[in-house]
Amino acid sequence: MSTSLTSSTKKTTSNKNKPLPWLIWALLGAFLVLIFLSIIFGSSSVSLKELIEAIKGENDTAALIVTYIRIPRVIASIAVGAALGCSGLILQSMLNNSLASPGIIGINSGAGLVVVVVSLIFPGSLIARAIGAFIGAFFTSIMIYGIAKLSGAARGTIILAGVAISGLFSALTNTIIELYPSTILNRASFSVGSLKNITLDQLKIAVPLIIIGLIAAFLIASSLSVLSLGDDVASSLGLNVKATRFISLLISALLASAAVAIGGLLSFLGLIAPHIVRKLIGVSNYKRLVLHTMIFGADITLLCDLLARVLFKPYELPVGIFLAVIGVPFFLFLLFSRGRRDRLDTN
Amino acid sequence: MIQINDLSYKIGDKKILDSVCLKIDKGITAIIGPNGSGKTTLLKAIEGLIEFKEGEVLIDGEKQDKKTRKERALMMTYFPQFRPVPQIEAELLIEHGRFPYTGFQKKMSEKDQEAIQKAIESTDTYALVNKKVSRLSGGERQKIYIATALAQDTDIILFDEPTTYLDLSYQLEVLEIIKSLKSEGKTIVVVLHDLIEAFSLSDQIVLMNDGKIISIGTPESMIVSGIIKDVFHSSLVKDDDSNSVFKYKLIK
Repeated sequence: MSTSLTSSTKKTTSNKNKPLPWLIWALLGAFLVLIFLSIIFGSSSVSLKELIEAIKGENDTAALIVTYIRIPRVIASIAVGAALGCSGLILQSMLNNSLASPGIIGINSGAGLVVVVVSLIFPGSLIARAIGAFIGAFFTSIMIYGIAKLSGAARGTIILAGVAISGLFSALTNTIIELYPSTILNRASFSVGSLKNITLDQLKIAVPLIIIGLIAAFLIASSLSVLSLGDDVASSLGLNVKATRFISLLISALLASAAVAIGGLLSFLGLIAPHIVRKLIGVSNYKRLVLHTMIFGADITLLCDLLARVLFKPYELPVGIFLAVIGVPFFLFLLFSRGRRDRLDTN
Repeated sequence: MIQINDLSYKIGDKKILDSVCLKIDKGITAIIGPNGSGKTTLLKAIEGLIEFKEGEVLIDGEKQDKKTRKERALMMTYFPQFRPVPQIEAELLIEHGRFPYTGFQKKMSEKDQEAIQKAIESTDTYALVNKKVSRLSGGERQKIYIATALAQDTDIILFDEPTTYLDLSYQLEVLEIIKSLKSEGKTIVVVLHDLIEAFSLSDQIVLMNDGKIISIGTPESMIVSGIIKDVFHSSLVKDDDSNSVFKYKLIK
């Protein structure tokens, strides 16, 4: 027995101290490469030589492109990708439902609706747009939570209520844009999600909110992990289940709304990023899951935005189209394999 | 010690628990009764998982509902009947048992590590700790959940049907673990469907029906009273065969 215990102790201890697996380094490597490529390539490419000259202050044109077009876009891609990925991860964890995401349960469309209304009242105000996005996402979250609670608090009900509300808000958003086409300059880009024409000013409000949300996601990770054991076990372990679920919803809303304020209604990222990460790293503690999802979300958004810019050059497609092209097949795969997953979850 | 005074709980107009009075001392108390008799609800009421308006639950003389969730988690462990299968490793699941002890950053202390190792040792789950919970068999998963409960290291442990759906070898292992907890001086309340297990394992039997406690006593006194036959239409007798696995056997 003692031998067995000693070997087990060594085993479990070594497990604790093992370094992050290769994936984190692969994701970080891809992250740096994609940042570099995103700065170099675009409708007017900047060569490596021009980039070095720009950094040295010897090439004003390249410096202007890099500073005012490429860098804001790179920051926007990273922020939006990390935010939506983590927002989806939090929702899927707190609802214990693999189909949850800010796009599916209506948080995005709630934020989008208020952004459109605010843009109608305060045209061109970026602050109003960011605040409006958060208000929309926040109240949508409260509304969905309230409906689910009134109807018996089943977690599946939150998804259904969200889908219904999402449909309603999308219809209202489209009606407003139809009646007042000048409200949102590029309707298609907003509806599908685009990072075109991003400015540093636009990021000044949303990016700090995303940083706060991501830190909060790290802080709540352990509680989310305990919540995955079911309400009764979580509660008996001392977790305030209702408060944890509510705070999680708020963090998710904060992240999703800030992302909407930057990039419009990017729908599938919040759904696919956590799933792909789970599949890649298998089982893991939630802090590691949050970290990987954050970097993966940023990577895939950087990649899709890069493709959106260079594939049909000089034309540019909204990044949301590329995310959807990847997201829809994955979503369908998830729907078809859901029966098996459900059995596992409820055993 | 757990003291329950005049506890009632309703869902709509249906009384799930009806004026329940019960005193539970150290050792093993088994709650038995037909389906829907309120056994699980009583366990949840003791743990504080349901809010009741009538009656009180005292833990060591103090009202349980006046305690915070964390304080309750340091006093009692609840092992539910239905357990989800989290997408994590077994070791991490066991570590969750230390959740109420860890601070804001949830960092494990030496004491936490010792408690986890002790839980792994008690349940003999060395070989399982690095496996995914979803890849374990029902019995293995049950043992990991029990290890999680043991890692919580509380004086009171509430088990809701810990042997249901398990094959006999796992049932016996789980019952042995529960017996070993008794020898550590813990208060164990266990809801069991299997009468033979309940009578062979426990010091006190609580028989429930329609939300009421209809009898409390030692296994022997309860058999003598004949109430088991009235409720279950069969009874138990001591099995004197030294090769028998359980102390009692069912008779018509």
